[in-house]
Amino acid sequence: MIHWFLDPFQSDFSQRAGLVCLMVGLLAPVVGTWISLRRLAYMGDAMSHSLLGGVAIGFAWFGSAAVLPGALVAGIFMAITIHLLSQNRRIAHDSIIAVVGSGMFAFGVLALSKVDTSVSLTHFLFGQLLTVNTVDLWITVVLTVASLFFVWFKFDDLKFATFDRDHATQLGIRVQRLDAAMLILLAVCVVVCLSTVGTVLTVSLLITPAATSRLFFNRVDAITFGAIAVGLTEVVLGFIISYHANMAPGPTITLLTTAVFIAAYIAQFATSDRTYVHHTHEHDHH
Amino acid sequence: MTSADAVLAVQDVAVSYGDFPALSSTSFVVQPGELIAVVGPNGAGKSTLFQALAGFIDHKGDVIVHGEHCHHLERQAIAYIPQQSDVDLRFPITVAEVVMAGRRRFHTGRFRPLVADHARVNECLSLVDLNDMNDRSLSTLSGGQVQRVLLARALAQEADILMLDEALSGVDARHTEDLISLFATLCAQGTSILVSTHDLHLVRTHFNRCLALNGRLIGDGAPADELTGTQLERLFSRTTSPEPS
Repeated sequence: MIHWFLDPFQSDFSQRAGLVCLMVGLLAPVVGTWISLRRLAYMGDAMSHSLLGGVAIGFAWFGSAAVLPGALVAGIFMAITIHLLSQNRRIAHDSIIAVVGSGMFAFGVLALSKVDTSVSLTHFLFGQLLTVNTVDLWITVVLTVASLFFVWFKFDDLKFATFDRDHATQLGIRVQRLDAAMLILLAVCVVVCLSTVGTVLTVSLLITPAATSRLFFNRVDAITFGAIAVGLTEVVLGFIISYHANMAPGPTITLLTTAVFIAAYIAQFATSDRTYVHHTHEHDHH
Repeated sequence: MTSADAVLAVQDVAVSYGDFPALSSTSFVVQPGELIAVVGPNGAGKSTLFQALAGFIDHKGDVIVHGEHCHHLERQAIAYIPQQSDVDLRFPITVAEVVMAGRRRFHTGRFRPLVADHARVNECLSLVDLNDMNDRSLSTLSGGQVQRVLLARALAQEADILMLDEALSGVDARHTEDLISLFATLCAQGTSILVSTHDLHLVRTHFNRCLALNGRLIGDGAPADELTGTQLERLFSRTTSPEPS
């Protein structure tokens, strides 16, 4: 049995892939928890698609080593653009995400079609876990550690600002800066996920483990740790299954996250005592 | 007492939403320990006034706390308890965590609650009769209980001025009496409290000052003087719409 778990990690490239899986399994659920709580799931989806342009330009100008840095620049560019455009309250936030996201995705597809590369477009769309090089690995590790440290340091401020924005402002929390930081954090996370599941499926790693954990917990810290446990297990297990079943790792991992969510949803529904108070029908317990 | 002793001086505060004047030039002074009702019809600008004073929305005029002009981001001495509809009740947060947010103003950098903070949170929950509910999820509470949690948060903030927006709506009779009693205790300790409400009977029986608002300040005085038939007719008349500020 132990061989079933260890066999996929025998070669250098598969060990690098395994380490990337660990990083992704740690970071994506943490960021995904906040993205879900801030109702930015659509933003995660749009941003993951928008990195293609950065991938293409990075690859065309500097080669394969610049794919992740190129994606990171594109992600941060998108985060800053959306943050600035959102200052105009006449346009809904999700409309701005759609405008910027679709534009950048279209640019990315056209840019990739013009780039002379031996790497298929599908590698970027659905992940290229087994082609991760040492530079990619180090970038992933540094980005993951820095992002996790940021969330740990700002955890309570994020909680207060997400729950009651006005009150957080009054307490001296710079909510606008936190908003911008969250978008950049999302960009970083999407870049980290890029090699694992690709741009199309990244949102599954962001949202699904957090949503699964949310079914069982009512505190942000508990949801976060639950999401990490679920996400980490799913990413590593998905990678192992894909190895043995000779399937692409990205879609395998994504399918596993979806299956676990559905199972958890059914289990929670079956065992729930349904004590949730619907505030639309107000009543006092006393 | 004079305006020099005032805990809060509001000078010509006016708010517009685009071209719409929500609140015309409004001025009044609040002394330490005052319990003030803010009354007026829906859309009179009560919430707008509170949010402007709390620094949540842009406004004209000056807000002076303890004799000092306050920038928007320097109004931690004012605690605002919103209508519960303004709070995300689906957010996964416990009662104790909500109240602990009030302690954030006493910390810089990374917020790490101290033992004293936890003790203060318990004390504040006890004051609003929510003992032993620390670990309850906010989403499982009734509307009246949520209001009391938000009041406990304001108490934990140790603000000199509390502004409660429709805080007594959805609260049952016993807890309304308890809250009024708590207000009296806090006022005796020097805290000034402004409460917006539609319950004019409550204002007449429990408050010693009343601000009548309908787009602008129409009356400021004892409830017995401001809630007379003539005054009420004027207050709820549509002709008292705000003047362009």
